Amino acid sequence: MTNGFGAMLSAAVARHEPGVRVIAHGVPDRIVHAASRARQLAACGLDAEGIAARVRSVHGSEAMAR
Amino acid sequence: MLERIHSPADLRGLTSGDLQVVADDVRRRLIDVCSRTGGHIGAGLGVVELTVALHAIFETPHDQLVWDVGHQGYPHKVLTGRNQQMETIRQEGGLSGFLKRTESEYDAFGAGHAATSISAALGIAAARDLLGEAFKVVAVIGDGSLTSGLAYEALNNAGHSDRDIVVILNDNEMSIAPNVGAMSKYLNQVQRNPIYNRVRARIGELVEINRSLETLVRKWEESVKSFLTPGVLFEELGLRYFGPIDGHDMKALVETLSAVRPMTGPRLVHVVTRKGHGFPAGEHGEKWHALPPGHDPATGRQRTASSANPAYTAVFGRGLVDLMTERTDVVAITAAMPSGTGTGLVASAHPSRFFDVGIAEGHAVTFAAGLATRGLRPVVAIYSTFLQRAYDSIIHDVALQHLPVTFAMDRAGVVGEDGETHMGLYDIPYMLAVPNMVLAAPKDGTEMLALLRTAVSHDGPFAFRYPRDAAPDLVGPISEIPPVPVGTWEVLRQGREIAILAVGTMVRQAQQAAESLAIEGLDVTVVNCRFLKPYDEVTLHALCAHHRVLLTVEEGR
Ligand SMILES: Cc1ncc(C[n+]2csc(CCOP(=O)(O)OP(=O)(O)O)c2C)c(N)n1
Repeated sequence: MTNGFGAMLSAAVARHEPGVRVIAHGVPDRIVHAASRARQLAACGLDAEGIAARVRSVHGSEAMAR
Repeated sequence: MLERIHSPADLRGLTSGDLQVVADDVRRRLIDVCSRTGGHIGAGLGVVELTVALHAIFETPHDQLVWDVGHQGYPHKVLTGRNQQMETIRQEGGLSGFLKRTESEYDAFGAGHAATSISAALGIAAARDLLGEAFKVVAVIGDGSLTSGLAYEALNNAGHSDRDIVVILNDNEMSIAPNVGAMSKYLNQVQRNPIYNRVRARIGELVEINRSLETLVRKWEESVKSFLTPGVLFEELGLRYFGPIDGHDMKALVETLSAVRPMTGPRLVHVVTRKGHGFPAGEHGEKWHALPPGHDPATGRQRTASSANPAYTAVFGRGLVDLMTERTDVVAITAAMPSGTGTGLVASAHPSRFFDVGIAEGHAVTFAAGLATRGLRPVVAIYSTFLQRAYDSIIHDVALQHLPVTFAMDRAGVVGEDGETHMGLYDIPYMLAVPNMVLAAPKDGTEMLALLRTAVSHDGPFAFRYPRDAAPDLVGPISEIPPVPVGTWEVLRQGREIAILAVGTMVRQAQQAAESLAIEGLDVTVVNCRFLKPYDEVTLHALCAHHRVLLTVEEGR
């Protein structure tokens, strides 16, 4: 992730709500080659499964931090 | 014959007759392989003879052959050691549907976007001269791409440069749709009108219109000059003009290219081809531009049609037509992609308010800005990837003047088989950085039309992005779809601790994720962040009060 929506919100929230973490999930900063759209989305973690997995890992690390 | 051609070197020394046999084999091979793989077949079929002749006469890969767009590169791939891999074209891990330097030493320059070939070839020629090397450089460019400013910047530079460079103008009178504009008309004239008749008609016209003898003589001289050199326009730009020649006549191609190769200085060969030449279902430039995998070459139709909802593009096109019936101040602009963007529907419904400006994305945007200064509401429909060409126009001509131009960014996000050159991954960062810009992304087709309605009433620039995909919903008429307040989000599911802030296509995915997480006992919030900028400060504030983590999810970077 470079400069998308997540980056923008992250900066805004850090300014106003320092207690809240923003985690940006999107297309990684590398070239996405030809494949079906579904495969490309899955490879980027941008399908329901990928999003759920990201939530689980975020939740896990949050629980540890508590 | 084709099985004996392992590399272009095997073409050299063959007679025109034998080269034509190779060409016939290449054409058969393309029709056969593409019937399974799908892809851009039309442009390739038009340049089969040209490709064979170029590789036979020029010493590739030592001589540098630069193609434009690259969608016409299939015969080039077949002849340059990639025939066996053609079955993998446009698939994961397979050959690219365009051209790539990493794929072959014969791909002198990568391609995907239009009108880059002359610039790149001139750069290669300048490097050659600077480094004291010796080889020929050839740029192939289509007449469609001669609607792009980039091509003229390159011609202007090349014609003035004295460098040894050959430009092949592949003139099939087609962009994806029939080509547009004055240049296209000019080429058409060069190609079609028997020059003798043209000169005679000109005199008749002149005697009628220009009474003054002086003008008559001057015009007469011009006519005679264009009689001697049909491509006088290119000659004036400093390129020696050869043609027009029939691009399906191997003998003419071989003779002309053999004569042109040893010369020096900038020169242009005008080759007349027919897009889709030899396609079994009949020649048609536009219909066979690209075909789906698993089609029948005898009809061009897909054997098993997909049953998905209409694509976002189609929903957009229909919505725009209806909105333009309702709102007579709305005008639609496409950059050479009426069918690709759905705006072709507007062309028939509201022809006077439809503009196809050619492959000229920068111009399209500044042109829209001009329209907007007079109170009209232009909707510019351009793929996310091609709108990159227009970035300065977006900032300088639209945003800084706060003009109400709507950007409908189709093919935003990952685009599948077209691969990296066509990815719509940059529009979120590039639009977020533009002052005054509203940036939105709908969660479905209905919301896209709501955003379209919102956009044309918004007093400033407004962009929304949508994917190359079927809309997930069945969309009713736009007349029944109200606008959405700018800068508002929609909380779709209320949970605890973690909130997923989803953008556009990711909203449904996030909802599905939330459902499976709920089964595991993890209760997350899901928000439809349909506006990326301005974002919904009130909702964001409320989310921050009740969550420790916000996970943003966007199909972009
Ligand atoms: C900057 C840009 N805009 C739009 C396109 C989409 N596009 C692909 S091919 C094409 C038409 C090209 O026409 P032409 O140069 O005449 O080549 P032909 O297909 O006739 O060989 C267009 C508009 C593109 N590739 N790049």
